[in-house]
Amino acid sequence: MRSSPSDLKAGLWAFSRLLLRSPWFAVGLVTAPIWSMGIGLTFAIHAPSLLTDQGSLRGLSLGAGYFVVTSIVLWNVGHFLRQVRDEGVLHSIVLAGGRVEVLMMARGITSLPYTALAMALSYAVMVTLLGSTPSLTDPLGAAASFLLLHVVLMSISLLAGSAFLWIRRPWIVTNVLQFLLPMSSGMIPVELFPEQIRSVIAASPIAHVFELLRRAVTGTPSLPLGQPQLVASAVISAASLLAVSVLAMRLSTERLRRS
Amino acid sequence: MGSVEKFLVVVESDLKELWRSGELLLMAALLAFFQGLFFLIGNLVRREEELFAKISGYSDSVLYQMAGVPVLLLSLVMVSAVGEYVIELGRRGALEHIQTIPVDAKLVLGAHSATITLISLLYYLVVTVPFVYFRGGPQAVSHLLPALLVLAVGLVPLFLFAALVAILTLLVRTEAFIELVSAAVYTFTGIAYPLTVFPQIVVALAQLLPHPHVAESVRLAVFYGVLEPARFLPMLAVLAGYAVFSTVLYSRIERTLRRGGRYEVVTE
Repeated sequence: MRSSPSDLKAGLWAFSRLLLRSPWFAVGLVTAPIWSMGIGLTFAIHAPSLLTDQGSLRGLSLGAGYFVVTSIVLWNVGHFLRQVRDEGVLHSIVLAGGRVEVLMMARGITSLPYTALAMALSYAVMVTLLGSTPSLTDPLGAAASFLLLHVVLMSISLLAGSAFLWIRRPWIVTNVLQFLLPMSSGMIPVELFPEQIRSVIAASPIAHVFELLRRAVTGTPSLPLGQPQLVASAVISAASLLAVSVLAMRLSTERLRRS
Repeated sequence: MGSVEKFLVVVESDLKELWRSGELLLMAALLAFFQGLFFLIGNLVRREEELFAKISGYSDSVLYQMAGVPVLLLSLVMVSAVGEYVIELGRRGALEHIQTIPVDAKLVLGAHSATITLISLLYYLVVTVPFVYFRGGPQAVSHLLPALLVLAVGLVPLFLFAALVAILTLLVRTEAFIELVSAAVYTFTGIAYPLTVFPQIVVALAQLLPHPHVAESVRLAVFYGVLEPARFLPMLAVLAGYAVFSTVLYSRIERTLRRGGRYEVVTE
């Protein structure tokens, strides 16, 4: 059986080349700001004053970018295992003793620069086109919290990817998930919701990860939580989700090997 | 076999294929999910109806979306379904084979358009009635009849648009083109929100597409229950112009593809 670092290195190398060669990469970077603007405006239009207030517009644009990044990771990482299986490659990997979860991690890590670029472009283009200027209060904090957000989204995609091997039409699940996940965790500015909904969002650990990013970018808190509590919750959520998703991937491929 | 019989054979075959694929009901469920989600969010969030009326001319932002969003979703489904269907035929080498069969391509395209229009009208009715009833009451539901009449006319150019995108995808040889068009249609056609939020140049460019005209006429019918000649006739003129333009462009691209034999290669 090959070692995990060698599998990871091979995966990172192969997926980076595939990503850069694919037209989806360039097109994805163009469509990311377009989609985020469309989705953001769909919800903001109920309260048009959001579009004229600079702080609200920045929060809204970041939320719309969050939607786009969630969508990219779910389609790019979540559907990859099934795609590999349908192409007959997964069978060979499993037979050769390859570590599927490591390969999937490589896929997730490779998509990090892509999602970071997509998020930055979505935020900057939307804010600028709607007449404001993008701001970045804490660049280091923003980079660290985006990394945590990516780990969370990658873990959820790995979990979904394990399930997609056994679901007939995974595209339906992804279509639903790509909306429900960001919407239930702070994509739409929380000040628009009534108190009960705000408390539900405030209790979501995934919302804490996005709140960290929002604070680092806009400098404005929107959930009533202290920074240390938020950081602890975000790190624990990301680490536990990653552990669960790797376990799920192992179980799923083991089941596949047996069947 | 006469033209009418050929037309009906294609419609029958389309309906059977759609039914066999099992995706008719799933698609209805997915459309209802999105419509329901937008309805739920619209009802939950704090709304500024006066401000919304100033920028849109309509008094209710939720009903505005309930009337227009299904048109947008149907158009996106058409773009992606027709595009992927044509690409799949190309990959299997079937498109080139179809070109050698002595059939009237326009008749086949017309029959496909009729099937999709029929199903789309049904979808629109199913996903719109409950939400329009909750928001606007029985009177707004009765307005859906003129809205369906407008939509029946408006869906034809939307289908032609989808066919044009499909054949352009073969020309540019990448499936990612469909994604680019879908994003632009969603964001820049002013269906889920008024175009007035954008700079004037974006508004002017968006008016070149059939979508804003179709959605606006459907919305007027849902809100006021009338086919206003002042809006409906210009919409017909724009749509007729678009139909002519897209048919000519479609034929030209199709000829280029046939001569170059470029049916089979589309990268994912």
